[in-house]
Amino acid sequence: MVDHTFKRFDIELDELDALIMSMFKVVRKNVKKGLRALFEGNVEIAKLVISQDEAANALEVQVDELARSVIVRHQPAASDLRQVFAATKIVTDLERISDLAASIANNTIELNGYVPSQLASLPDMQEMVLRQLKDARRAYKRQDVQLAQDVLEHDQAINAAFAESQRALFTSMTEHPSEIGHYMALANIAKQIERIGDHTKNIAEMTIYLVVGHEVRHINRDHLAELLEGDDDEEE
Amino acid sequence: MTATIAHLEDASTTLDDAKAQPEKTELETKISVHHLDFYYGDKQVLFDNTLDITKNRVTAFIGPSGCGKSTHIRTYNRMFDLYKGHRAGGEILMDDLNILDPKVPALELRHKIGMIFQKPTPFPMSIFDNIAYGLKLHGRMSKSELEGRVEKALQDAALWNEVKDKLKHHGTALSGGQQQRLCIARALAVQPEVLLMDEPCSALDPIATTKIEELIDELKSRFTIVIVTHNMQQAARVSDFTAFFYLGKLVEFDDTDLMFTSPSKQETEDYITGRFG
Repeated sequence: MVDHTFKRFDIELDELDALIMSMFKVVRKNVKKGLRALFEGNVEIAKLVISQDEAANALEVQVDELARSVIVRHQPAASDLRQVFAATKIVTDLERISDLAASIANNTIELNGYVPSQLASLPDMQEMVLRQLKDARRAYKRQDVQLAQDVLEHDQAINAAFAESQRALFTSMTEHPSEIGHYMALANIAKQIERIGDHTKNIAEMTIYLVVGHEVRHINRDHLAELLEGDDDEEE
Repeated sequence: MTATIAHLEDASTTLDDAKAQPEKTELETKISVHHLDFYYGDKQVLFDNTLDITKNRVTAFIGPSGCGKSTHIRTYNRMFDLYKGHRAGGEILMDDLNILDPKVPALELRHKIGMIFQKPTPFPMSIFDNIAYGLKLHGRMSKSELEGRVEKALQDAALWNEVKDKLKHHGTALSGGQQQRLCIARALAVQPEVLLMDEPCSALDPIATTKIEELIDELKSRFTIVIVTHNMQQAARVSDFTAFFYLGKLVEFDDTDLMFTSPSKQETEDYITGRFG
């Protein structure tokens, strides 16, 4: 896209983008470490994840401050407005994801280094959610609507894995009542991973809005495909 | 229990109705422009402009200097009749009356379609006479009727409270914002159906501008308003529909919210985001 006549506007929008990319990195690292701490039973790493949540919080505030400044100084419109609006929504989701990583770490600390033998589908969920976060970041960076749509699609797999994990963990609870506390902690962690998937999906939806200008939250998949196809037709 | 379910059903119906409401509202076209071309002598400056101006709504025309937005708006009351060699082609229908038809008397047309200009243009006479002058041209009326109409026009233009004790003072002694509202009152006094505003705030300070914008918002329930503005935030604030002109062509015309969040044409996007030229 052509640069703004007023160069400072471009500089500030680029700054906003750079902050969001940093936040993606910090948050994904927190999630990755949080889950590693769980699977390795490493309380020290878990504590580190909790302390690093501060970095995500600080970035969220920084993005919001810059967005406010851009709004008040430049009165963004069209794609610029969507970029600023999407930025403030995306950082809220990223900050919540970091909170959830910290909650996973808290649950790991409660487990006190104990790694239950039955982890249900948690390792699969870990892999899926880390991939989702990576794809959501790439989709945002490249403004790639197709990749963002893939993220929406894959969230269903995380939801299915979550449902399966709950079934397996409840079975384990009934089979090993003495370990009920451990399995409860795992059930919580599975829920937290599933919530991370939901927030990642929100980010992908905002990315689609940012690129195509259509609101795609809370609409079914067929309608979404129709909406995006309509857009392709217009471009032709 | 039954009552609760019935209540819920009612509530859901109401919600659905509320959602469908914006589409249900029938918008009525006040002015319908078809294939409008315009020439200054041999030079064509408007090309095939086609759009509908909605009744009791505010339509904003935006675009860079020289894009034809003022030329376009001035065809609605045939201002170009006053200048030799200026001519329009195409059709402009107001309630099925073709404005461009030379048989339509221009003076009558200008009573129906009032115009406010960039620079306030009060007549060099008293505040009262500024309003009364146009009314007297319309025909005879009693003194009390004339006074009533002047007061009503000044009230409609949100100026009455500021000038009611100095109606005999010179109109030109008012502040710039007050002078502009006086011109609006003058236009409203003859009870037009459409108000054309050609950059009405460009010579005013921010406070006077806000007052005019508030006035536009109040007046639109009774008049159809078309405003030309260089201030895109103003277009976004006051209008329901926005038209973007470039090089005499109507590039895009849509709901204002859509134009300023997701315009469909790249030229519009570049212009409203400040990536132009």
